[in-house]
Amino acid sequence: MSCGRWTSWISNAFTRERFAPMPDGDGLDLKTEPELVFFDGTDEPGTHVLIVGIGHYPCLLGGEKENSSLAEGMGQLDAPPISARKLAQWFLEDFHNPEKPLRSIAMVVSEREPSTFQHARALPPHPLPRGDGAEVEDVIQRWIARSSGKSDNLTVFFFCGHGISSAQSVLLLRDYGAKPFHRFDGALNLSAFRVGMQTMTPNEQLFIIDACRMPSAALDKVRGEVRPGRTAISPADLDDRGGQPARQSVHHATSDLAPAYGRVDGPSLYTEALLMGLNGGGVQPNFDPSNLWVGTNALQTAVSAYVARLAAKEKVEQLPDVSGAISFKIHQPLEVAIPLHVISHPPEAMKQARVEARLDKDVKSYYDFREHEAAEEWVVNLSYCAHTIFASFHENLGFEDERLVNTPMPPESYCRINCRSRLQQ
Amino acid sequence: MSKLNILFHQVGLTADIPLGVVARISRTEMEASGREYFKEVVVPASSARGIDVDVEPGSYWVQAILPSGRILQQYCDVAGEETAHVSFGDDAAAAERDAGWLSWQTFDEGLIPGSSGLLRQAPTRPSFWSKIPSLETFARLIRRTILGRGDQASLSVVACPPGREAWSIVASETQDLFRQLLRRNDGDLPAEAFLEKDTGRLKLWKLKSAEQDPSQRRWALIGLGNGLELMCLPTPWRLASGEFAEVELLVDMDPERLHPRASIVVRDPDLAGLLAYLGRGNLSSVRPLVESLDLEKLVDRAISEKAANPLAACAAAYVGLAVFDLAERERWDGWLPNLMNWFPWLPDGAILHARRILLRPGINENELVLLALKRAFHAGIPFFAAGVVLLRDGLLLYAHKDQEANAMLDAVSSVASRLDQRQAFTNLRFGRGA
Repeated sequence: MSCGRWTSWISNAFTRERFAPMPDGDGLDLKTEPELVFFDGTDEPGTHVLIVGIGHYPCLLGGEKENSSLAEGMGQLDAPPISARKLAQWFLEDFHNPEKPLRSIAMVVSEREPSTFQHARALPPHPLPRGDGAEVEDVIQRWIARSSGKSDNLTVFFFCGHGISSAQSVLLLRDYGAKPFHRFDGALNLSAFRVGMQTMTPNEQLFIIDACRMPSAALDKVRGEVRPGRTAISPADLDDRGGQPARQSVHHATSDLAPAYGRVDGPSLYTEALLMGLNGGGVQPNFDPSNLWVGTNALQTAVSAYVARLAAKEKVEQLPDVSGAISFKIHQPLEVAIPLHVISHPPEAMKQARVEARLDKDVKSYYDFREHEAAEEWVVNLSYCAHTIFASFHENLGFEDERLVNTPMPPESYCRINCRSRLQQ
Repeated sequence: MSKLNILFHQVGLTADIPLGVVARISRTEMEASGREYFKEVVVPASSARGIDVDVEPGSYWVQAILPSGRILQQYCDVAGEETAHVSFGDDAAAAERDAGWLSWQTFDEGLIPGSSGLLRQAPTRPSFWSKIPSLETFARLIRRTILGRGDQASLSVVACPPGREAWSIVASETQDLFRQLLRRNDGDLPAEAFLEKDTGRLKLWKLKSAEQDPSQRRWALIGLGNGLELMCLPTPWRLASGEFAEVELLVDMDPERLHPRASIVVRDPDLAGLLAYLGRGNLSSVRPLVESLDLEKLVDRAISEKAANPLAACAAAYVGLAVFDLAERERWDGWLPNLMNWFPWLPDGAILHARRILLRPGINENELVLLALKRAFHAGIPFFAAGVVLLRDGLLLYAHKDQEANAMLDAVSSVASRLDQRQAFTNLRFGRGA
């Protein structure tokens, strides 16, 4: 075999485990389960994911059946389908939970045209459910059925789209407003859904809700109604699971009565922050410092910090929220990435500096004012161990080279280089 | 030994809040021993004092995790045998605000300082209410004490009947609410109160709780420009010293917002931090504060002593049940039922007891959960917002198989739909009725 073919074989072997193509869907009937994009078919304890991204709302502003009287200023969204795809991609490429490996991913995506999802590890691309209320209920039923084989299973429910709030969260689905006299038929009552899920088999349940929680005239008109919106499931008897409800952690992109922001042609701020947290910023050292996990509590702290920073850049305000501080493990990053913000004193020295982050003798990353945009702050993602930060400055500044050791602490750390003048010597 | 002195600088606090804000300290370099340094402490919110932490000389990164979830960060060099000071909160923005009289209200960052004054963090409800007769009309008709009137905000303290009747009154339409509440407002009216400050936009009332029959529930009824807020008064609230705490009630009439906002703060230095984190729902990082509080001692004192404060015990229990692993707190199995049984007028006691069982049920204890939830309902509307939510969620688990629970769920949900979940105490919002 030639050198080139050896190289190619080795490269493929290295990536094989993480990017092995999935079976072509044999044994799975994608007509009855069109939401599935990944399914490993085993019955062992694992993680079952349902991702819902509703960007297109035909009855809201800009939709083909626009009803401005019930839209309350809400229109079409770019971010949810993008966020949904990014999260699905992350689960396929980066999710690692040796105790509860990935078993299935289901997706519901609402765009103007029917959506598909493509990935080397995914099932062959096929049209995904588009997010009408009845469809979402059916998808949820099948997701629960898949995840109820083992009580040790972890379920992950992610929603990105419009949301409204009146002490209970209501998530708007694709057909919200399609029935003008029963608009909440196109909505999911998150509060009731979550409580019902507490009676289902999986012991650990993660809810990630990337939606506004704005008040709504519509919800006010139905105040007193027990459960506006679909509940998707009815609570089962708690005795069926030993009298103890499932452990849940419910993470909201924003605070009650506040908006959440998404980008045009980009993911939402929260999803961007969420991925940073899952990639290492949300590791919880208290689990086992030598065996780092992203857990619910630290993830919340990390995402709060990242969203605050992202929001400040966009000159908006958004503070994530969490219901229930139940602590459990989600994901064990194979490579932890924690943002380290490197600054100098005086600050302007960074604009004429070269800074390297080294692990042992390897330069893991660097900033050089001659190659990159000169800035007073360099942000680098590093693993959770001691790195040596080397800084050298343009000779005109007259500063000594500096060397210090830094361990980035989650969710984010700073390293300040105190510049010393050569003249002091 | 070198020290870090860390302070959360809150201008104008009349008393230090010893357990104010959770902070994390990490060293930017590894220690000489090759280990990393990471520590969580609780920093006082104070006008003057901080907390001293012994550290090795070096460079440190200090993060303060506020009740709002915001993280403030500062870098600090510590020289040998010296004390380095890290102070949060005294930045330029803080200097802009005339914050002394608002120090208790701003502590949890419910208000954010801005160049144009104080800005409420969360948007408020849009105004689409229809008209009702003004409060002045009711004042002429029905005897009550009006404790303060501003241009657009007025305050009354009303006595709402305890027990399950409260649910139906509050769930009723607004006009009926007023009539029923005010009709029942006979006899001595509660605590003295006065308008402490009126800037036109912000109005701050203070109410001094006093010895009173705790089963007589008192609510602040606030008439605002476009609506009404019914706020549970957490009184009487006894401090550790045995004295009664003042309760602050702030109304923010920001003209840029469509609907004003009111908030309640209890001036209890020992528990202000806990209540701030509870009110903001930011419990994921509050564990160090709760551990510092010596929960068992606080609860023992709060429910056992003659000068009891079961409301404080409830606050501690709501946080503790959310934060701690149940195996860590087996002693709670003893006193949580006491909270329910010794204070039958306190709905939150029964709710906490139910929650405790739900989280770690014994054999055949499911029935006890439902009994406790029903008992809570009969005791009336919970003092704490968390209690309203937990009661609703608990009843949701049983409503499908118990008719009484189903009927209770309707009433609780109706009230819960008006709940402001961003506050520690129950605060219900109403629009103008037809």
